[in-house]
Amino acid sequence: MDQIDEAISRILAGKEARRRRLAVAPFPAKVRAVVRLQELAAPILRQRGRQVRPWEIDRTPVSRDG
Amino acid sequence: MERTLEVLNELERAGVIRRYAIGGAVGAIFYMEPFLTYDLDVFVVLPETTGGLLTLAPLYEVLKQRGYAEEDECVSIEGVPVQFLPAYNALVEEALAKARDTLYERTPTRVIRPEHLAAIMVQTGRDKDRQRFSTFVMEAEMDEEYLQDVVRRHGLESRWMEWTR
Repeated sequence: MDQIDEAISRILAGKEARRRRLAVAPFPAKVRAVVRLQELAAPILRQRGRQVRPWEIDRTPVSRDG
Repeated sequence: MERTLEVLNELERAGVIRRYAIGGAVGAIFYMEPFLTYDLDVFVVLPETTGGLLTLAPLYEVLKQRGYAEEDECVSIEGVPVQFLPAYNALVEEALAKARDTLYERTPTRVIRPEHLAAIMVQTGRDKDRQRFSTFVMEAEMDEEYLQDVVRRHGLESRWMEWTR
């Protein structure tokens, strides 16, 4: 039982760490993640009768020196 | 998205809107883990009209002339549906005035401060605001003193207490 608790704790800690990393990611990277979510969710939502359209954005990150 | 923000900046420079800031879900995402949304909510201060009426019609007309079509309550600007929300009360006016300047790639823009976003969620008070609020206050870094001042000045203490219990 202790081993299971330990494994679950490790998983939850990993998820929390990932959430914190994502929370401080650059804004454009977050918007790109939102658009990916839109694309993944759109077919499901359309099947449920909700008309949605993922954003059409340029996904190439701008390099600082370019 | 960057081109969308450039258009908003052009509208501000041309005086079609006096000031804008990103709010709503995308504003919240600036401070927290990304989640699914299809709208870009943009709060705007509109130029004063002679009759003192708050109307988005002149803004929509300019956008139409530029070829940006109205879609339901939004205007699709460079592939992103933008929902314009005029500053409708003192809290939103303050949120717009104090919005944070930032860059999206190379384009300057503004995002509502997290303390104001949280207060607007509490004031709006829909179920979806409450759901978002609980995650937002855990993930977004906020200035606690500033937040409490906003909540107090806009008479939101009671609901704030209820939502954070």
